[in-house]
Amino acid sequence: MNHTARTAINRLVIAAAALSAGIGAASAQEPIRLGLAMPLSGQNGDYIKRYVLAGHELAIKEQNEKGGILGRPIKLFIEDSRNDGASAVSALNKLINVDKIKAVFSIFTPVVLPMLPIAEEKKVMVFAPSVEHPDLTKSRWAVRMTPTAAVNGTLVADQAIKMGMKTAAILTEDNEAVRVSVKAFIAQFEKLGGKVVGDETFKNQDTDMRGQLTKLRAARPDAFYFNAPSGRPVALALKQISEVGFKPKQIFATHLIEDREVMALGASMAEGVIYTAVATTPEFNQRFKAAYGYDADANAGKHYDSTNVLFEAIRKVGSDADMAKVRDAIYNWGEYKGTLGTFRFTGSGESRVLPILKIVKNGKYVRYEP
Amino acid sequence: MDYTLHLVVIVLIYASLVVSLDLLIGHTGILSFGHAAFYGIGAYATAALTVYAGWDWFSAMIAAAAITAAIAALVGIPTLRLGGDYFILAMFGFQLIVITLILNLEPITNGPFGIRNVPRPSIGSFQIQSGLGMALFVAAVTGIIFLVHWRFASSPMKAMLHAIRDDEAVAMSLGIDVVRTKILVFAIGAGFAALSGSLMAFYFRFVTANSFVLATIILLWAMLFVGGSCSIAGAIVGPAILVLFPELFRFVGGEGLDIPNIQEALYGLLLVLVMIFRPQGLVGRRAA
Amino acid sequence: MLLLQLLINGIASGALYALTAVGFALIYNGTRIFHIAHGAVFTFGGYALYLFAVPLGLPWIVALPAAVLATAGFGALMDALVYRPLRKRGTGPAGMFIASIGALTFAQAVYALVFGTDTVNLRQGGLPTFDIGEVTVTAVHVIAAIVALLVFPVLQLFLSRTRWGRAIRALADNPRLAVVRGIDAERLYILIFALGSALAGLAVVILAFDLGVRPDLGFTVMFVALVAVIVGGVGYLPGAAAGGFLLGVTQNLSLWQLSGRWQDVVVFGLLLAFLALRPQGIFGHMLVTRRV
Repeated sequence: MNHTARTAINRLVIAAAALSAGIGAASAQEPIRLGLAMPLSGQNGDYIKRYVLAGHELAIKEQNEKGGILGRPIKLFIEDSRNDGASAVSALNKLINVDKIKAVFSIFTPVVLPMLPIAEEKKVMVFAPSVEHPDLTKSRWAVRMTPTAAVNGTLVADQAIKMGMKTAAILTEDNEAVRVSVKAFIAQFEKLGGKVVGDETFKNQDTDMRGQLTKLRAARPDAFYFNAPSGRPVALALKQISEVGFKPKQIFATHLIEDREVMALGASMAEGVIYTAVATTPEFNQRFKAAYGYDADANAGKHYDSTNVLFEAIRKVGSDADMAKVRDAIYNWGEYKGTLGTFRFTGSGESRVLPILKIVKNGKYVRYEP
Repeated sequence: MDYTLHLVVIVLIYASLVVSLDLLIGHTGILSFGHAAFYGIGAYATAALTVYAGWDWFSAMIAAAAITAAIAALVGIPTLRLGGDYFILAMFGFQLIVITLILNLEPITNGPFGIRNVPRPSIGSFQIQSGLGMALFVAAVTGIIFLVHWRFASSPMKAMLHAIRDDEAVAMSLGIDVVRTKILVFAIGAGFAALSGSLMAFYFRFVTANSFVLATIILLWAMLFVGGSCSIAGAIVGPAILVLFPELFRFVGGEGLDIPNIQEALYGLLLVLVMIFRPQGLVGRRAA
Repeated sequence: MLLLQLLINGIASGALYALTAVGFALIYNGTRIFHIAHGAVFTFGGYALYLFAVPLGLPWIVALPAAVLATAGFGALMDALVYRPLRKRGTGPAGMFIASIGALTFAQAVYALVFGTDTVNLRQGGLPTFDIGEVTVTAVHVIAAIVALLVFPVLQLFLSRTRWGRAIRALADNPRLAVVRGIDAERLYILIFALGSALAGLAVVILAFDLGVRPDLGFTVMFVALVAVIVGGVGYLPGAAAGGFLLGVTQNLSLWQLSGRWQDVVVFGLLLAFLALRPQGIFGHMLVTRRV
């Protein structure tokens, strides 16, 4: 027979051998299949890869080095959900139908919420630890591990009043979860006798907030509260605050101030800012830094913890065949001690951990001790 | 199976959009950037009517198409009588306005977070669940849309629109009321786009502004011209290629390779190369 | 006072919009190509500036003009690689547009692959500022205004007084007649693209110096530039400039009474008003024949 035919037959033989070997291997060592569907391209792509995906991958790597779960290796299938719900649904469909995942990790409200109906139907758990939108945990298949946005707002308001601030101005990204935080802040601040003298917003794509900052400057507030879901707007706001000559007595922000982008723009810009955070343990940070070469942030910690909660639950139940049992195990866990602190699960996917206040002091992020 | 069905549904919805866009661009020469906006208005109207006002799916779908066609007529009246340049830019502006309104009219549209829990269509007391049922529903509606366009393509009306497309002055001299016909066709095209929007709303069960941005109309144009204009087959081929192409990339491995951006780069290159080497698209009858 | 500050902010951003809009309009009027890839050319300038200033460490006084020239070159290159082959084939405006989209998508993806999707900052810290009474002015404000004030009159002189400029006008007016009269259209196209892209280059170096570069930077600026062109009047370059300033000022002044979230609505409300009432734009009456 000719060369081409012989090559083809050779290839078929090799493939058949591999397949049978594979089948043999698979039955002994069927991996635990997990999926990740997040925006990996576009504006937030790099941040997510750096901290969020990194958090998940670190947890998986560590677990695999210890022999996996129930003797089985863990395999993570990664899909780009892009920033819109339709692509997210496509990604989830592929993960469920083609890759046969049992649980999916995701982030960002507009990406996660559309996935829920499909996940519920296929009995796939959705871990969206850092999504702050309240509707997430109305689903019986979702898990959140973060303080809800409202708690952040209340904490900042309390602190501002404690520091003697009488007036406050707010600048936030126009985003449903952020608005929840803002409403809580306003409610608490005014309840305790303060007055909100300015409330401005900007869109995710905006780079120039000088107009809004100029307007807030004219209101001469004591406190200034800034909230956005990623590091870039924080960096821009800090830069532009100085450029418009806005000098409030105290600036409050969220943990995104620890993002690399803020430091890249100049550490001195963030000096003195007090912000809400959930703190990762130094030991976790060390391992993270050893693996990736830079410090972890709160999102990395949350996503790391959420992966481990899943592992613990599967171990407890003894198998991943019936994810409803795994889900129930998590919902009724009670107290789970993670790297971000103690999460309390009380019968639903909602878990509470209390944020703390930190401050940027001499270029370092430290706990705020008044 | 579900994943494949999902892809089929996506291709069908886009095909229904491209065939109506072809009516405007390919047959009548109306270079509309507004098609995605009408798609969006149709989707939002359907969602709002079913979720907030409790209408049934069929009435909502028809009403959405009517509302959208009316809006298109209103927009078309001042803009279609101007030259091609103005119309292109005006439609571009219209598209931006629609997105901004969607994002800001929160009481109606729920702003950036869209409308969720759109009910699935039902026939009597039987409600279609996901998967095969929805795929058949989408195929049925798309089939009807295609049928209408196909019948049109073999009717005498086609010649009239081609006359307008090729030379408006000559068309006028033949007694065709060019402006009125263009407005009519524009409104009809928008109505069909709204039907596609309804399909999208029923299938995904949520609508968000993200799905109707500039990138969407650009994708539709690309689908039209890669498939080929003035062609029913082109309206299927184009979407099939441009939907499946990125999905295939999900199966390409590569640790550390920035697959999404590589795919975008190849997609851009594809568009340029098709225009240079095969401007009539794969199965089209007119060069772009 | 707040109003004055907002006005000054508005003029500065208006200047950048105006530069981009006029660049686009010059190309659109001169070549009839809906060059949406202008956004990618714009972004290219930002990355060029980054490369010159940071890894290569050239002083700003060299890097800035170099980046503008690089942008001009890139625009001309795009014409040579993408539009010229299409012109040879007799491609219509729709086909040109699709190719332009392809070029834009390709360029943006390459930027993301090479530089990442995060913003690349060119410098640290805030801009130098100085106060005049209660108004704070940044270096960007000043430079943007100066550049715009210098460039537009120079451009106008070029187009009306020089041989090349008049040739461009002739080509824009009536391409076939111009060619019959001996004008070398292909060389002129290179010049038009270079000039239009240089204008974008001027805008982007100021913007990038202030806010850094990211792959879709040009795309977002193009939105506003296109609105400026519509509002100012297609086919009349000073109209595009006026449109740009009008938009920048309106966007910022709207903050005086309205919350920031309505900025976009104001811009598009303006657009809608023009489309409904005066679709030919402010200076549309100048457009009896196409003019540059």
